[in-house]
Amino acid sequence: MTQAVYIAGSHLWSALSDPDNLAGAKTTAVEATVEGHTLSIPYLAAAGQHLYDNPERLRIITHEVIEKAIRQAGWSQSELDDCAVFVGSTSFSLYESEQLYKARAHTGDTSALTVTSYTMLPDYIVEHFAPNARVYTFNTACTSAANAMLYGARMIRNGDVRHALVVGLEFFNEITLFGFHSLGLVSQLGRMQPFSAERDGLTLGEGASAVLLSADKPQKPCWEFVNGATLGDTHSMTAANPDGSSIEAVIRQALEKSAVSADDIRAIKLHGTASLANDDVETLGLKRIYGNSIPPTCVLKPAIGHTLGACGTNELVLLTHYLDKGLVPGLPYTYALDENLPVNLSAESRPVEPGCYLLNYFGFGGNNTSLIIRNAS
Amino acid sequence: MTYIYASGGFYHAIEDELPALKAEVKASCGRHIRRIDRFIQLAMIGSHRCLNNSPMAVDNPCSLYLASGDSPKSNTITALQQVFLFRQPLKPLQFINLVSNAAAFYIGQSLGIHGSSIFTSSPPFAIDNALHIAALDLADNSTRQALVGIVDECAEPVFIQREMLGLADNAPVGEGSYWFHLGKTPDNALAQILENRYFTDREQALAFAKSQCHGHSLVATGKGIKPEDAHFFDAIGGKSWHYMHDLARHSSATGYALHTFLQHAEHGRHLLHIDLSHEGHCNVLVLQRL
Repeated sequence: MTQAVYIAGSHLWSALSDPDNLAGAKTTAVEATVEGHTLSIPYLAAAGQHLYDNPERLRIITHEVIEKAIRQAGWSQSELDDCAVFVGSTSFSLYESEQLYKARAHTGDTSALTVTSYTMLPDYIVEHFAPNARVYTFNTACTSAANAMLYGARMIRNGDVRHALVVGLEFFNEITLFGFHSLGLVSQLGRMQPFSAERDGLTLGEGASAVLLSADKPQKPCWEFVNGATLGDTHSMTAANPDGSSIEAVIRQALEKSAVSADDIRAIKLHGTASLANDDVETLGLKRIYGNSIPPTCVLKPAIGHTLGACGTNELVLLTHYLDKGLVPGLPYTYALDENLPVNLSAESRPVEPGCYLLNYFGFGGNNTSLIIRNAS
Repeated sequence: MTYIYASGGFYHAIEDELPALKAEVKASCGRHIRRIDRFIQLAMIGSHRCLNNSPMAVDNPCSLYLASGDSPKSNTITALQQVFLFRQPLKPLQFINLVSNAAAFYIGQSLGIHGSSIFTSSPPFAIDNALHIAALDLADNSTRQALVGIVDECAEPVFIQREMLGLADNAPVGEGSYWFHLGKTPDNALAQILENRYFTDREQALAFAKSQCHGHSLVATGKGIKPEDAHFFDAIGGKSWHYMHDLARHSSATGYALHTFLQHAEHGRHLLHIDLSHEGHCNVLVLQRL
């Protein structure tokens, strides 16, 4: 019998101070002068203390997120001693490199150029929480943390480890913000409207989360991380195949790996970036599987922003917060949905039966991942 | 069991200026590929050489696992300079190459590979981890074949790379790209991966390595093992191979060792590759040339 994998605990740090109020995030504007022009780019900064002036900012936030997830799970050091660490991010500690570079570049000191590292934060996590852990980092664009969970679960199922500490990290940095701006993908309204005819792009957000996976079933109602799939799509660097076939393929493989049928899915968390191409192709992919009978769906990026490499864990934590109450979350604010994109979204939260839930994540570089969770109790 | 059908590699030592790679890209890929940065160029050269050497055709789904010891640097450095020093906007493609595993996309597109596409950077065990993830996917039938590689580029100007690696002025630095075509069937295989084990205790790792060592095994120690500590590993037995002596410093040197073994070892020979993290954790990788 295949080893089941459970979500033992989790914690999310994001633009929402209260997860029960999806409309509570405050959009800010980041300003910069580029080639003599002043840019003002909307951004969803994290709620609470920002700590931007603290050189330990990234480590403090990472530490707090993991500590709260461990406390929620009731893990002791014995679980952490038999776990591996999986970290997903697109930018890791780039913010810190930027701060050093900005402070020193004008002096000709180039040492800041040497600090950008995929390993600084993973090393910190291992050192402070799981000193015996083997650490895996994933940088697969917007699927980074989703893939970190997928492989954490796969290693538990394979018997390599009993537990997995999965961490998604995406901290504010200007290169990412200006990069998305250069691509013309950032909403000028600062208000994401996925699957709306008037959608004009995404708002980036800052977020970090930890998800603890375990072979041991917690002694309380919990979620089973059933399985999932990740597939590359070489059609285009920035968008999935416009006929929806690559989206269909990854969802079908996730269903197959999870040994569940499409009809078993009670609700779907869409990737929903509010970019013209992504919402179109996600709709087509779902229609190839469900026709006109797509289960209830939801979008979470309008509430916390697109948290890129961390959205895999961030959106899973936020989604399960609502599913625990028997609800598929509605839109955080009202807008008109595009009738040509009939993905079964609703402005209102809807009740949902226990069962299986599908989570979609699609990223640059043709990285597509779908995950399936279900109630374990 | 995981089998290796082929390997392909590219390595050079750099003293002053970075040599252009366009001609190598064309020679390996059979055509010019425009608008790709140095990291992607290196990845394209190594991956194409690997599949050009393979006796097995790509059998999709073939998944791609790209590892890096240091992660792509040049593009990040350029972006930092552009945004904060020169106050210039980022070019769209430059940014996309920065935030995604763009190298894997180009390789997949060029070689007709369809499967998953993973970028991982977990030094000092980057290639060990990538091989481990690939083996998991092969074992649970998520993929039929795998193309696993490790790539490290040299930053420009070269003195930055020396600073990053803690090297003396004028010390040569290396860059490399080493790739392995894997599958589950032994037909036409060059080698098999017998073990890929992680230990938190060095003594346990040594005991395990000793149990895997035959008289004619090659025992290679990785870049995490300082020369003054190398004698700890003499107890394993076999024939010591200090491949790091042959190389300018670069973080994908483990890939060089595996590739060189696969290209030159006689049939039946074992390679035990052992590396050590700064926390004292070990990884032991055991290959047998078929």
